[in-house]
Amino acid sequence: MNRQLILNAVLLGSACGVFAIPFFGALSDRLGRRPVYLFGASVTALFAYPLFWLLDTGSPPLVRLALIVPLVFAHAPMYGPQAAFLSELFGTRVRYSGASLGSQLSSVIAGGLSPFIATALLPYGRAALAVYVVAMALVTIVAVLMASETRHQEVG
Amino acid sequence: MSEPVNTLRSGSIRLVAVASMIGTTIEWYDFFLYGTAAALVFNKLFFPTFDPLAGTLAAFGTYTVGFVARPIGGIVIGHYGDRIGRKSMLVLTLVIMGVATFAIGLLPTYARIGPWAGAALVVLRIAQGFGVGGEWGGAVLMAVEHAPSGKRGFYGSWPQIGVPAGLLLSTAVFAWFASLPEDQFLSWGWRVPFLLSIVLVVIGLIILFEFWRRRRSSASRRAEASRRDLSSSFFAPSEKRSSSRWGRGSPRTERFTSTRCSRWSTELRKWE
Repeated sequence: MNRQLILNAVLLGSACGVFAIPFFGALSDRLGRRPVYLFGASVTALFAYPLFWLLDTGSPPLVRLALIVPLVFAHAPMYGPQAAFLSELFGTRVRYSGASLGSQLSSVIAGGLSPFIATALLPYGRAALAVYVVAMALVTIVAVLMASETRHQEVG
Repeated sequence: MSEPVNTLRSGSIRLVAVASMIGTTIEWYDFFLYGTAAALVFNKLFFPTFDPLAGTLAAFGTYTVGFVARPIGGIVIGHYGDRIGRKSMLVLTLVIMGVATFAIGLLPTYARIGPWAGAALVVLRIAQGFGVGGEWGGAVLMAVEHAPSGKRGFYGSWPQIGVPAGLLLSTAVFAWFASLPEDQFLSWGWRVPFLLSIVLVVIGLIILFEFWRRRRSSASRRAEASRRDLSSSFFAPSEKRSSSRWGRGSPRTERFTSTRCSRWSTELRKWE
């Protein structure tokens, strides 16, 4: 797989993310944090298998598509509203600790470990990788469904 | 009280959002810079006695250490952000990050000091992770807690832009220096993006302090207007109510207003 192609696609997706993140943040002001977050998690789950399939084709436009679509329609809808969502879940006196702990701990458990888990799953084919991604998305979906909508929460 | 002070006018909240975005962009620039350098430079200059694969793994091992330090930064800085004040923690984490990144740019390599080079790199990487983990909450809360209630999602997403923006910036700057001839890149070229971080941090701090200075002066103007009968001075007594996370806890008011006084020490007490 061409390393430069992947890097360029990630950069292109990041450039799109610069605009997609505030867009979905603003959308969560209108529709609520939960629906926008759930949309992102659902796209993650639904796109998991197509992602690895598109990467395997090795065709530059499809590889770009495979990396830009999740950054814009899966990552941004979760990452954009996340700042307000996590902040609104905690009271003023514990907000800095609560929001930091939730986001930073998950970045290690889910983000930091994922390269190792993915490498371990690689011999079992792309279906195994997709199952891992879907499982993570389901954790998010369950967590969001258990949380209350906070859009109208007073941040006092 | 004439109006809740925390709900900033649109110009001010935009400044807050931009300031928080610049803060996170700098943090992520530093954090991602390390990742790129781990693949291209650190394996050769800091872990060269291993075979090439082991060198790369060791370089990425220090990368992982940075991840593990993030929640520790989140816990420690979050705790003091709630207890002492968000503003001082935001400044502190930016400085930690800037100094650590700058110091990486100055590190002697394995050729000079042997295994100490790699050990120092690990320590500085831990400081980077600590900084980024602690800074996130400060930047996010600065945007969210100042935003009008119907726009918290939008303004809160600005500091989140720091991830893609920091990735783009670090990749662009590093790629530019990586285009140098290899011996120059390995001898000094790779250091420049790390040293540049201190410039970014200073710019970020100037923007933050400029914003806080404006907030203070506009808050004291407002206090003055509402208490003309008291012939209130610059040290307007509007502080009595002030006790939010930016001061000491009054709900929805006085987040950023430090009318108490304009000294740096007070500056560091909370956002005020």
